[in-house]
Amino acid sequence: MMMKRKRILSRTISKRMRGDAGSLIPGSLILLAGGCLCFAGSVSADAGPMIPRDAWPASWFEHPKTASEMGITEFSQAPEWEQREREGTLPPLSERLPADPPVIEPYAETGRYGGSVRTAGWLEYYFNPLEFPLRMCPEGATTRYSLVKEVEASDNLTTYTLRLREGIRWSDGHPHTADDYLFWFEHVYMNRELTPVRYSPFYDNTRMRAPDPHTLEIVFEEPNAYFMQQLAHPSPQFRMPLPAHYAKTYHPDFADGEEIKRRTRDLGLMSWTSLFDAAVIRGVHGNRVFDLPVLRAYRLERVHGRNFYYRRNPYYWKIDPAGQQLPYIREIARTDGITREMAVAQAASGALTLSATFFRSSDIPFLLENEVRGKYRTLIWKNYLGADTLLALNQTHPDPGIREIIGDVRFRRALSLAIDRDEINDIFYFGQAVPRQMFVAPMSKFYEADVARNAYVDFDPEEARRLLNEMGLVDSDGDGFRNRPDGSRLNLIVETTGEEETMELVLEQWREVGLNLFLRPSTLMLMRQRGQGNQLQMIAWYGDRVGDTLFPADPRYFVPTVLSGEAATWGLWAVWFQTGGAEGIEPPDEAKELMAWWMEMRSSPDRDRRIELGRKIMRSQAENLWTIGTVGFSPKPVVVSNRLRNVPEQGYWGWDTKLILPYHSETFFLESETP
Amino acid sequence: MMNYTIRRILLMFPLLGAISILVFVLMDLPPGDAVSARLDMLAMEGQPVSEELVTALRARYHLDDPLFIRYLRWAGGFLRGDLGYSITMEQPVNELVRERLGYTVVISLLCVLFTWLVAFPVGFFSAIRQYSIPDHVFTFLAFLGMATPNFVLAIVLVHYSHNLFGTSVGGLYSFEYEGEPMNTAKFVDILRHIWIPVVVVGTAGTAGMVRTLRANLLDELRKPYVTTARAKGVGPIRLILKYPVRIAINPFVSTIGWLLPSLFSGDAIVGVVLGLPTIGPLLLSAVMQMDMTLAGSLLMLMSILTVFGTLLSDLLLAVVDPRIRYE
Repeated sequence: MMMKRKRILSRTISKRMRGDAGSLIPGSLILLAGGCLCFAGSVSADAGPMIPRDAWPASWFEHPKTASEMGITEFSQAPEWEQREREGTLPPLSERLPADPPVIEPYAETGRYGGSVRTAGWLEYYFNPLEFPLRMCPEGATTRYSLVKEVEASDNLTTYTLRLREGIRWSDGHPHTADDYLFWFEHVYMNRELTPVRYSPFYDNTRMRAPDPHTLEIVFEEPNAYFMQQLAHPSPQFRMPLPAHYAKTYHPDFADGEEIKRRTRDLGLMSWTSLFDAAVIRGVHGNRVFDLPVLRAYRLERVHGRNFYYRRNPYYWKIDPAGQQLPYIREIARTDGITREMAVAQAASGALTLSATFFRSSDIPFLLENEVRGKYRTLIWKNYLGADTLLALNQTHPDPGIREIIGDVRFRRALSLAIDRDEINDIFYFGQAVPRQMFVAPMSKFYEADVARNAYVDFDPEEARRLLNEMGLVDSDGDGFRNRPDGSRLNLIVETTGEEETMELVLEQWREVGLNLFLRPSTLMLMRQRGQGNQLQMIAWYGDRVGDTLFPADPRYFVPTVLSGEAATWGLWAVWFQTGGAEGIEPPDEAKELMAWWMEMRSSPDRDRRIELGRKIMRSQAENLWTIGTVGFSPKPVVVSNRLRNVPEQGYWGWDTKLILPYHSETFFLESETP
Repeated sequence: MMNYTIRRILLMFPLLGAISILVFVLMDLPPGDAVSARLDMLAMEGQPVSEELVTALRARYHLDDPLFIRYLRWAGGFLRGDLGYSITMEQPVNELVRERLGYTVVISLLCVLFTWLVAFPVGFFSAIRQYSIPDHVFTFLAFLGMATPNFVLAIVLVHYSHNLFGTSVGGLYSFEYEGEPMNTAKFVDILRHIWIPVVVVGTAGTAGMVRTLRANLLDELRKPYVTTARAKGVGPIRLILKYPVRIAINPFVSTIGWLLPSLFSGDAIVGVVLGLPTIGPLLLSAVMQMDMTLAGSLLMLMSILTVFGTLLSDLLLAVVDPRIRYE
């Protein structure tokens, strides 16, 4: 019974993963195809079936064309804006749109206006992502122009010139200009109170100037090879552009200090920085919504408790190929602060138009079961994860015995070889994840198939036992488990905050080769503190940042850059690098090499050289297993109401793609107003 | 009586002072603070977290001041009716409490009513008809009610109420009534949702109450004065209501003391599971995120209510039970 159910499930899931409606194909054929897919996934050590590029419109991989390039001369708009235009309370559409607006091709069809959607969760990126100068493509790699129409980089990659599209306006009608960038840089980023700590890419010596209202020139002291990626997927404190005309009224450099004090007090806030954060960055404080102008498709209109309501922006600056102003959907309602279980139940009841944040692969059967009654489809996307469960070992642990064992590459290889990834895949992922080492994504420029395949990823317990014996880790006290060379117990602890299920199985597999490790469920806060205190031995985490946008900017799982909970591999090495050798532990040559490669990769103006350096980092990973992966690119359920159209059948979900950022949620539309 | 009451009230002040110190120190003991919780949030959004940022944030919220300075600031505000400022929510605690107090009190009051309305007659009946079939049935149900974890019952009820009546999942009313002023339609909609938490939280209390009442009443019914009264020809109902019930009702009265704080906080776990806009989940998240001011103030309010409630139930007990002396 279980087997049969599982087979039907993996059939349905693999069918969905191919984006195939399957109505014309006889059942047996589908079964066969599904079986083949599973098979293909289990023999190849890594690549697995990734999503083909033709799963999305080809134009999503290029810079968007503009209306004049497409020959569009007539523009139309949503009925409510037409009405307001007639009443004279809104300027005509031609004055609200840019002179030559960018055209976004919808996934399947041209939409119709209207309707409101409901979603849940604290991540608002569902329908309403922040707009940045650039946007990445569906594979989370190449960047496409968005707010800018062109970016020029000097040959040595120190000077970037951003040319903004003319005529884009904030949602209050105020023009969007280079001033909005300068304001952020000079008065928010460089303000010690608002931004206490500076991170890459901007430092005190970065210069920014605006030769004219639509040109921005950014000069770095050091060459910055990955600035384009940072413009498409900026870190959260990077909030460029901000509406300068509005933000100035909350900033003591421009506004009256007494007035700011009064407003801060009225809201019961502690300092002007909290007021600035509420009014300019978040746009909301409790139930109080500010008139924060936005560039995104929807602006927050009202808040009731944990329910947030957004209404479309009349000045949104993108159109569809029929000349209709986007977005199609009128209103978004979002409930915040519900639990994972409640979100799954609400989705299954059909209450949510689009939901995904909370769901795990294991929710798929339940979601599939309720599809008909809930009137929704469960699309099976892929998690953008190099490893769903990632193991990181602390090579700088204070106990020299542990440090020596963990630091021995044979130990890490044995751990990896003793993992039966196919078993994990079958039990937890319906055979639909990809058994692989922790490695960059197959679509990455830094990916080499043969290197990834030979990264100690095939199940080989015999070899694992041999390596452990060779290290002198044998069972000297006869309790059935291996001891340290000095005869004491080898008790390693794996701490985790949510990978318990998979880890139980992995620990079981390690016990088969005589390693008795223990699992300690923890909390994020505790783990981070223990990480900063260098107290962790091993952690189980998840391995994101494996695409071409995030890997070059933050290769924390492959290069000793950060000292924190989720990259416990090398705490004190990172300190050593950060302090120039004054503190921490001096890393071995392999790690110094990694750091040198990455430093050069960040600043080399030669593209081929950068790719070569990135590949060197990955070859080192395949050889040394700085972190150990299990399976990656696991199935991710995305629940979509039957009424909602233009949601891609396939996609990647994860931080590398900023959830659904590349999939143009502004082109989603509702087939009918009522369910 | 008067002397006793005054003495008790005067004693409450040093007691509450001691509690406030205890609450504050206990909250400070575990490693980490609201800033670490804030950093987790930032890290989840992909922001690099460094030691410098931690220091800057701690300074912004005065978390580096010595413990007693922070205590004095908090306690001083508390005396003036200012419950402090929640760092994780970036909102004054007064506002957070005000938003949630109404629904919390309504739900908790309904729970108490439900408990009493069910527990009293059932316990009464089980005792006077001991070992009858209805007694066995009620006993079975009572044990079942005590043994079922609240949150499981909550999920099961949500499931059936959605499938059978089409009630929306979670929350206290359907999405469309959010932010609307109270009207008939919204009221009806709330009624369709509110019974779930009431039944869930009420069931656990009911079960315990039924068992206590039954046991107490059985003790009394066997006493010689009952036999004497019956021999003298007092009617059965009048007899039981006049003497044994007055004594058996003690547990009802003494739980009034615990009632006040629970009215205020509601049931945290059920609140979280059902997504209710009550104070319980707020307290839970405050503790988990180490938001000291928020958690401390909520705990302190509950302590005050507990102390008051205990006094109240002591006084009521004295009224109900003539055997109690003020010594």
